[in-house]
Amino acid sequence: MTYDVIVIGAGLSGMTCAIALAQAGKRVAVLAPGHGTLPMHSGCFDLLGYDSDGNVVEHPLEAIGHLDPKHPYSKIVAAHGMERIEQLAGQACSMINDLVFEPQDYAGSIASSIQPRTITNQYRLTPMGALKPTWLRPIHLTAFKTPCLEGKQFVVAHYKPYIDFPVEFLAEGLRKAGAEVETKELMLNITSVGKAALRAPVLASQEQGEALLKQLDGFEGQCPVLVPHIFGDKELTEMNERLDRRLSVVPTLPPTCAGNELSTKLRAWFSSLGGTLFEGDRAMSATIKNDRIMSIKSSKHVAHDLLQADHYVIASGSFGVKGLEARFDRVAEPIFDLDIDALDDPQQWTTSDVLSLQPYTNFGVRTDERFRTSKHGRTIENLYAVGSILSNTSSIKLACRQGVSMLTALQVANGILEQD
Amino acid sequence: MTEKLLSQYDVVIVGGGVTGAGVARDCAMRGMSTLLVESHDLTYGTTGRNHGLMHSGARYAVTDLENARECIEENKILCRIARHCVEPTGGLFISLPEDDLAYQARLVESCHEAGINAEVIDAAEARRIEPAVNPTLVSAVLVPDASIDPFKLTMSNVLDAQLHGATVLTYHEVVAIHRDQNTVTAVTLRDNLSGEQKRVDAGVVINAAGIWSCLIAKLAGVELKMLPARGALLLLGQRVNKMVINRCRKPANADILVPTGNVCVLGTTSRRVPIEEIEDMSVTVEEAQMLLTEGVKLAPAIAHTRVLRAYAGVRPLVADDDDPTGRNVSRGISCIDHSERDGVENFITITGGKMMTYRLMAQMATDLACKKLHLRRRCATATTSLPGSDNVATSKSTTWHDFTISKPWRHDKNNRLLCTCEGVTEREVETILNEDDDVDFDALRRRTRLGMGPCQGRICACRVARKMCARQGEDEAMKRLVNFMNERWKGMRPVTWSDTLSEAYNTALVYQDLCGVDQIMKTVKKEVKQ
Repeated sequence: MTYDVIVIGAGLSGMTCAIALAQAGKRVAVLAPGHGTLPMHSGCFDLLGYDSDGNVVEHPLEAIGHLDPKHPYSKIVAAHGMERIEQLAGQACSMINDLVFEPQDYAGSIASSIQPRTITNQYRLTPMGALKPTWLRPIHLTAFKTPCLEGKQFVVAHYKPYIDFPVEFLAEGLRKAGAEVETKELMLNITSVGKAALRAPVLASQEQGEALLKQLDGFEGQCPVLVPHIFGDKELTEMNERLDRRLSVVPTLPPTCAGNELSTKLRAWFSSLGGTLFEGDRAMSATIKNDRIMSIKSSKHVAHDLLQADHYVIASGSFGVKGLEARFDRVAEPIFDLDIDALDDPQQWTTSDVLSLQPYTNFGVRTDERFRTSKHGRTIENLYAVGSILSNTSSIKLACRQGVSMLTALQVANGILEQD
Repeated sequence: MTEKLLSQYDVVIVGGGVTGAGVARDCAMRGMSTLLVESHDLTYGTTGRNHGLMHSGARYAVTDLENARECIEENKILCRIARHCVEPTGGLFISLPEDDLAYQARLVESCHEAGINAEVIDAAEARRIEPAVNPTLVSAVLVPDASIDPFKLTMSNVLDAQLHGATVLTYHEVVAIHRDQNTVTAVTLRDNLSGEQKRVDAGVVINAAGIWSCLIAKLAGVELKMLPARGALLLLGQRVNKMVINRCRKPANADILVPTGNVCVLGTTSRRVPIEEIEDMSVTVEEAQMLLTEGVKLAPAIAHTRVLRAYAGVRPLVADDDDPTGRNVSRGISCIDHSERDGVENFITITGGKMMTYRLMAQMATDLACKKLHLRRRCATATTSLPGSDNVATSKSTTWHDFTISKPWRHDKNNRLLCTCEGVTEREVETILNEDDDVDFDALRRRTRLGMGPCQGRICACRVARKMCARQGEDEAMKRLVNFMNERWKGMRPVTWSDTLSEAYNTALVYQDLCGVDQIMKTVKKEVKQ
């Protein structure tokens, strides 16, 4: 089988890259062994939430200029200037618009014509009640203009049998921010799925909108109601139309509803553009000749059915989804054994405080200014890396995961398109 | 565990490990009014930090015949009185091509002398009964080793002591031992959670504080020299073997692999540490790698098995009183009557020994206490089953002890799982939390195995923290959650390879990236400072 581009990995970065290429008319195949870390996606899109000292960033696009030169954003800036970052951010912004906003729930804060530079961070409410800076948020998700909620009132409604919505911590977080909070229990008739805890996407598939509406109507007062994100976008839009007050959702613990829906939408979009998605197919190894990838062997493509393309994009993620692997003596990229930026001594991979920056989270694949990878010090001409597999992203500490995934994916896609 | 405290007891036992629990049971069964105090939680010390091997005694047969005899005697007793804690796996001592077969002959001979069944089998037979064993083995010795659950064993002893009227106080530390002339008369206890102190009169004080025995002895004005030996172990994520696999050679590093529950434990190393370092339970990357490199020789599948965590325990060995250099270890059980040794009356130290011989140690200490109190009652612990051994508890059970004893109870309908790895239910957790305000994650873990499975608490930690909010408040619950994450992390750090690092990364994504626990802790800490 021969394609223009083969993308390895179907998380946010892989799918973004594949969609951008397919939109430009490329024949693209995606190897999709899973959904990346999308099941842990809050629903909001972080571009840059904190600077390297841990201070909250207000204008993410301005702050990008001050990042460590090794950060993937800085590499784009170094090679193409700040304008390129802004252009990519605009491209990502309009993609997100197309993905998660129906025309009618358009929030007004995001328009495809808007200058991404002017978007300031909002504060998304996390499942455990923290307020974290974020760049873009879908309309139903709970986020605030400032982290100070002095004088505001909320009702937090929860569904007791669903245990992965920590309503106690959530309410406490809002109170700490200065708000008045009342918690209420929802009565829904959701069939138990056995002894295991209910999972968010399971609930979302059930049509509970009516029951919920009735109860919400019964709540006194007119303050905003926050509910766990266990309902699909469709139900939420309907409910919000019928209730004159704003109903908004807060993500649950994984697997999250937003991640589930986003993954489904990304795949559907890609398919509608004529892309080929190999579900459950894992890349295994490659043939490399004259510093170029010739073909790929995967769990479903072996022997005479190897996958071939002009360009390859590796978007297989970090340690969590085994795009990177820690071995006894070193950190490795398991498919191609690419060159890695990592510390040699395993004792230095971690630090004792679990919440402080763990050095290993910065390990990743080494790339050049065009995000091309290398092996044994020699650049592989047609293999690019995007997303969390890249080194020095610091994405957990900087709150830039979705931004790094999408901007690097779009940069690489643009690069491939410019070449041909 | 906070119970009503009397002002006077016949015996006060210091230390809530298996030895202290055994002494409390024996004393209570002989009708003494008994108080057991533990400065942390039950099984906090070495009892909760070993490989859970129920020795047949074969391991010691060559070097220490008396020790081996004690082991096999106690092994047989535990098989009768603690059936619910024992899994009779059987054990193999394997000889690899590089091992000396003369040692095997000596082992078999010594075993027979000690009364331990030991049968030499050929390589084919060994591989048939234990397919995980290293296929290059030359031959093996079949012995009655088994696997034992130290947590359950301790809890059952504590429960039986309570059923016989004993008082048990956890998080209570002995901060002073009072003497009238040369006779110990009372102790002062400090509630480690509230800081409150109270004095309790004691007929006899029994020091069963394991490695901390020397510190307790010091409070009574007695010098006791301990020689702590630290052992590192690895917990593997699945059950590789079904029988205990030992290496048939002089005791060395990483020569025992014990199957236990859904996992197995590879041990151990042995390193003398200064007494100041006994609280340091960390394991180095080198130790972990060394254990694995050697362990693969027992069962090659270990090389492809996930290491869940590394942990260490300290063996409470006592220096031999007859040796003036203080460097030689006193072998076997040390039951010290301090009136004979130091002229301090009514103070007994029971230490040394093994988890295997805890019952015998308890019997020796209790016999001595009886003598001092002029009681003539016989020990019945060897013939009386522990609660849970004869029958499993029913669903009507309401105390946490019953949960620890009865796994079948967990399969009750409408009882959701909080910890899906180890099958810990909501009701189990709630019952334990309701019984005791002071139960933290670690105490829950010791009672239920919560968070000990493959995800190391990623999925259940937040669910359990929610349950703590009502009693402890959100900030305290959050602090406990983070302490638990740090505690799990400590055991994962030396073995951050493959799936372990993968889990750690996902945990960071959930609790930091998605939930912002790191941001919340900043405000919690700030408030504490103010």
